[in-house]
Amino acid sequence: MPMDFRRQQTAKDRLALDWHFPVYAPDLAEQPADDGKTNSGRAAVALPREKALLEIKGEDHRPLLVVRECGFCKGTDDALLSRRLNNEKTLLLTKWFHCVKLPNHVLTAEHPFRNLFAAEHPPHLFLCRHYGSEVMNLDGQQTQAQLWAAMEELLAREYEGDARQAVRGILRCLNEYDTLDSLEAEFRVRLEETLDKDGAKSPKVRALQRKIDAIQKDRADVEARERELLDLRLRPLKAAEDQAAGVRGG
Amino acid sequence: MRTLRLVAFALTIASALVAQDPRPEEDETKEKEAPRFAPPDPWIKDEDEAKALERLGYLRVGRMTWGDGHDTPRIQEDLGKLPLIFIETAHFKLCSNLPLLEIPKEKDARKRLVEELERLRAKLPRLRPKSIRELDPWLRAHLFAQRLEELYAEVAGLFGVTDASFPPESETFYFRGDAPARWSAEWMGRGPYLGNKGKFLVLLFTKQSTCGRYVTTFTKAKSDASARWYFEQTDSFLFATALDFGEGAFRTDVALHAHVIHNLVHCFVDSFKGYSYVIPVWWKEGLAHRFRRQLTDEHNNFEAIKDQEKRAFTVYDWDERIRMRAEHGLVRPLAAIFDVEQCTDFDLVDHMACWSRVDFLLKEFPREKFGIFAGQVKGFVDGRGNPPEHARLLERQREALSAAYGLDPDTFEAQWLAWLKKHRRKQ
Repeated sequence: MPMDFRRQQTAKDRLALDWHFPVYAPDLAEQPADDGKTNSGRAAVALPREKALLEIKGEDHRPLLVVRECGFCKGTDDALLSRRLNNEKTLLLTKWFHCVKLPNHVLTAEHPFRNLFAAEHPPHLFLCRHYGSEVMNLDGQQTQAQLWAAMEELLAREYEGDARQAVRGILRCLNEYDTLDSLEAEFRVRLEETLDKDGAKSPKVRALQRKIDAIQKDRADVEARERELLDLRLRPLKAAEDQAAGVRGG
Repeated sequence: MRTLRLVAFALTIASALVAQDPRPEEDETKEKEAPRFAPPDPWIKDEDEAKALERLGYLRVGRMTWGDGHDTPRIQEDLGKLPLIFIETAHFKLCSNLPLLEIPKEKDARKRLVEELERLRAKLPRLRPKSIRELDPWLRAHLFAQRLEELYAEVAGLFGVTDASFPPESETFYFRGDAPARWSAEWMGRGPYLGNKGKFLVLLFTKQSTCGRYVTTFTKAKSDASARWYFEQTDSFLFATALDFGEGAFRTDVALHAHVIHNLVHCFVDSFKGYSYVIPVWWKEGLAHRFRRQLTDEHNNFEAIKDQEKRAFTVYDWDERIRMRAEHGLVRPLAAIFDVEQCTDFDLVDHMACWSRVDFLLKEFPREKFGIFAGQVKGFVDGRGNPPEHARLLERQREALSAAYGLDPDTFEAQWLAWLKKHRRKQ
């Protein structure tokens, strides 16, 4: 079997960024039934920062990672990811953030979430505690090291576990997934071809199915390890605030 | 009454041209001016717009009503300064945010596209299909508008219906019990669009985030994938997707076209004679596969498929594969899936079998029988719009198969398997 060093599907799925695209449209719940006329509804208004934060975070108490899209990024994640370097650590660190993407026009005066970027030179992205404090602004040109430092600092305050160690462990899991995926794909192709050609009674079918079952068992073991690594345990809300105070020396 | 389950599932690309049109001042006493950020249509410039639209078969472009509680200016406002092209045709409202695309170099894809552009040329005299090198955003929108109407005509033809088969827009009844005798004797839904009052809504975005924002704002569908949604107030079906979904799976024209076909066939079947209940999925999915495979054997789309079936997206020789499996007795029998409403546990063989069974019905029996079958499965509601008990609905499907084809599920299966075998021997 030729070696394939690309990430296989399971690892790709794990590395996918889980963006949330929040919107603020309370008027839509109150709209009367459509009567055939066009209806452009409300006058949009920028919410106060605290309310904007509440709207985007909802019931999610993870720290926030908020990116605003721009014309240069053109729908990519270039503000967060490097085009030249391996982004896997960044992508894994995001697993413990509530990742929010806001549209280009969030900087218009009347956008509901405008006040999240109220500075004179608004950042391209920012990280903050779940309730909006300790904001770390980034301009999209930050180095990977700067980004990781900011993310790890925030994670240390919000979670009990060690994110850095967890990332190392999960990367090992991803490598194992790649091996398992490649093997399973190979065996499944052979199984399907054998079923097509010889039917279910062929002894090759049983042998291949046993191999696939063994891979599934190994996969389940890796998944269990991965789940444990991912569970960094959010600090209880009050404990997180005390911990932050301790870090500040206050 | 069974709860209607609304299916949402997904698929991805982006480029946003930011025009600098100033936003008009809001005035409570006037209807709000609709901002437009798409450039003017270059294919009809210098023409009288009304005449050009008439030639294209469009009712309007730009400002129009859309789904429950929103219109196109509201969509534009919420999604920002994106170049959104809104077109209303006889049966659809299309929102296109597709970027410029180079004509494919691959011979078959190019040939297929040129044929479509030749048909479009009758409506866009400036078009030179053989010498064109790229499809600009407006041309892509015109092309999809044509495709949508052509697909609608094919499916309506298969169901044996025309616009006149359904209640006109002027009718205002909601329940069957309130409808005049002409429309209550055989329930054909509430309106002219395969039974729906509202036209089919199709949104083709480039960025996943834009699609996600539209879906989150205006529907309750999941925002991380392509979505179909039913708007109750406007009685209309929506399909929204983005080129970015599926790691850019829909970036080529043919992949996007295939994806749209698959989903719209589902919308058409759900709409047919009004959306009142969920029907067994085997023939709906089989029909969607059939229409999609008429365009291309590649670019498989699935309503749902078992998780480990990742290879399903790279296996295309379905006719040969299903025959081989059937010969070895390795196809899940129709009786096992006849009443199933979701295909979440279908594997690739199940999907191929659904397609092949529908293919068999359409090839081996007069086409109008499929319309009889579909027509009896759908529209089975009482005076208050309630479908009967679930078991009765399932029984209705059996009756429909018998009325249209003179078959029960087991006989159908036996005939289909014999047909597969006969075809294999001929090869």
